[in-house]
Amino acid sequence: MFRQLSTMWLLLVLVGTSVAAQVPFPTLWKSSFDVSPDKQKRFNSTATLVFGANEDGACMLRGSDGKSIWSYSFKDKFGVGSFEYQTWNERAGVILFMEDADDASTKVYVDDRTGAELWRSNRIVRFGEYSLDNMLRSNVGTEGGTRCL
Amino acid sequence: MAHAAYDDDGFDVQSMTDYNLTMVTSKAGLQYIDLNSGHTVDVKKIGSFRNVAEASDNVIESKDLKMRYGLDLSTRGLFSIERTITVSATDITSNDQVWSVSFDGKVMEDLMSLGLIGSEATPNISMRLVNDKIIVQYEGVSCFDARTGRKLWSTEYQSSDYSGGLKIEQTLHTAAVLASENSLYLVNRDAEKIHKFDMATGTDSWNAPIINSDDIVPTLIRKDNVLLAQFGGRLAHQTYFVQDQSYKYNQTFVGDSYGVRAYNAATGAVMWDTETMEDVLKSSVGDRMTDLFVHGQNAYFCGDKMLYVLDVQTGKPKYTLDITNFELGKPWALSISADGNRLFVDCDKGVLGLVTSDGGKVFATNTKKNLGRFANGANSFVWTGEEDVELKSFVGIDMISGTIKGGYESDGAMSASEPPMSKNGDYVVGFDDKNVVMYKVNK
Repeated sequence: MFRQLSTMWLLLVLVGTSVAAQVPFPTLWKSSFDVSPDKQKRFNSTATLVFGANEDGACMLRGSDGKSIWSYSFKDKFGVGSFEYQTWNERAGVILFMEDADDASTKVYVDDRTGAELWRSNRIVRFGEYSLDNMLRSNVGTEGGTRCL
Repeated sequence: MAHAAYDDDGFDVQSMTDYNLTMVTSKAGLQYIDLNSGHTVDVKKIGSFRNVAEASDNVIESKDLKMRYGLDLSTRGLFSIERTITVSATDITSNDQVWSVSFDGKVMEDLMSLGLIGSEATPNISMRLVNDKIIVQYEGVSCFDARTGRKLWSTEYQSSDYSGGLKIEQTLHTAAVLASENSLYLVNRDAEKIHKFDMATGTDSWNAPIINSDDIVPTLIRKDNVLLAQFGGRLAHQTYFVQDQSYKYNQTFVGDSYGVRAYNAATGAVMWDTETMEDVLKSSVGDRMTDLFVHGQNAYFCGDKMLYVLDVQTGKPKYTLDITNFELGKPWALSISADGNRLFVDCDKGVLGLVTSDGGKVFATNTKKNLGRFANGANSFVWTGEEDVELKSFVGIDMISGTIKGGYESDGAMSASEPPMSKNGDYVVGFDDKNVVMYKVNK
């Protein structure tokens, strides 16, 4: 039931009809992602970072001019062919790439401004895993992951 | 909700951007992460977290009483509104529990929420501390001694209208409750009365008839010795179509009659009533009205075509203004600037800016449609487009001059609570497949 409702809610948001055009706001810049952002198209609250990703790769644009800050394929960068899930904790400045829902799948945490890997883990996902404190705690790597500084 | 990902095994990560939460479902259960803090949010608090306007604060701290008060709800079955409500008090210094009381009651929710598990619900319950009393408002009102937790009194109350069948409908907040000084004013639509209860004893100090049980009274305002009651208004209306399992949420005008009635706050005697003042007002309020507010000694509201500015004590008009002269359609909301010098009338086709003191026109901006107005930072925007259930375009509007700054249109419907713009409203971000466009709202 819950799944059905969640899906329905999404449909309510996504379906629409056409309307008369408005004079648009002035354009600051136009740009494009290096990847097709099938999974993620979003920006942070200050619009200083614009993020796009699919299962095979990710790209971050600079909000001031639309230039690419970082971009890579997951296979080339992390040696992992695809990441099914991506979540961005803006306050922490960390993006989590998860290989899949398997408990022992690879989870890579990257710095949102540089795209650099912070640490990776194959730990089971449990409550608190994504919390800011856990993300930033230096000893997290010793609990099953490898911290990359 | 901007992002969702789940699979057949039940693992689910959803970014609940409407509520600034990330929801993680796994075999281990359900978890919410506050995106502002990164901390796990207590599942019991999600209801009020997701629906702050309805649920109000579920934690109150009093430095005078040196206590912290918490409100918790039991879980419930699907489509049930029966809950066990628990209010507890802890010592601020020691964190020791001082008292705790539990009682059963009905707690209304969003229609959509009723089909979710209890921990996902959006309960319509609030708790407030008034002097040394704790008031809990649900489908009933209960009052407790804030020092001891002793129940002082309770009374019947219904917050919302609900009708079942193949088309389930619910209108929220159809009956107002107002705590003022040592009294609690409450609209009991079943009893067709407005009550004034003594806060300490629950004694019914007076009760005055409303017009009938179909009357909606969403707002009560106390100004000096006058209690103003708004009849009818623009309220949140929710519909669930059982056969195709779809929801429709919108704002609509409801009420058996529209207008304002003033009661003597001490006695309950009617002082004036717009329904019997057509000769004084030179018009009738009509078949809709905006929310009522008081500024200075005047009450402000719009009917279906007129703006009314009435003296609170006598009901006599300071001035009235025919809004339809500005060719912006009918008014649906009225607000006042922070400095009190400007009135803003939201109409079906645009926004009107007026001088508060005399109703002089500052601007009348036609946006073709005005489905809702919102502000991000110092920037104001108006939802345009066709329907309020599918918001696909908005324009920016300068609320000083009324100038339209520009607009944005999306292929898909946008979330009303999270339009695609920076938090300060200075930038709008548009996506089209791989392409990104950054718009600047202010030149």
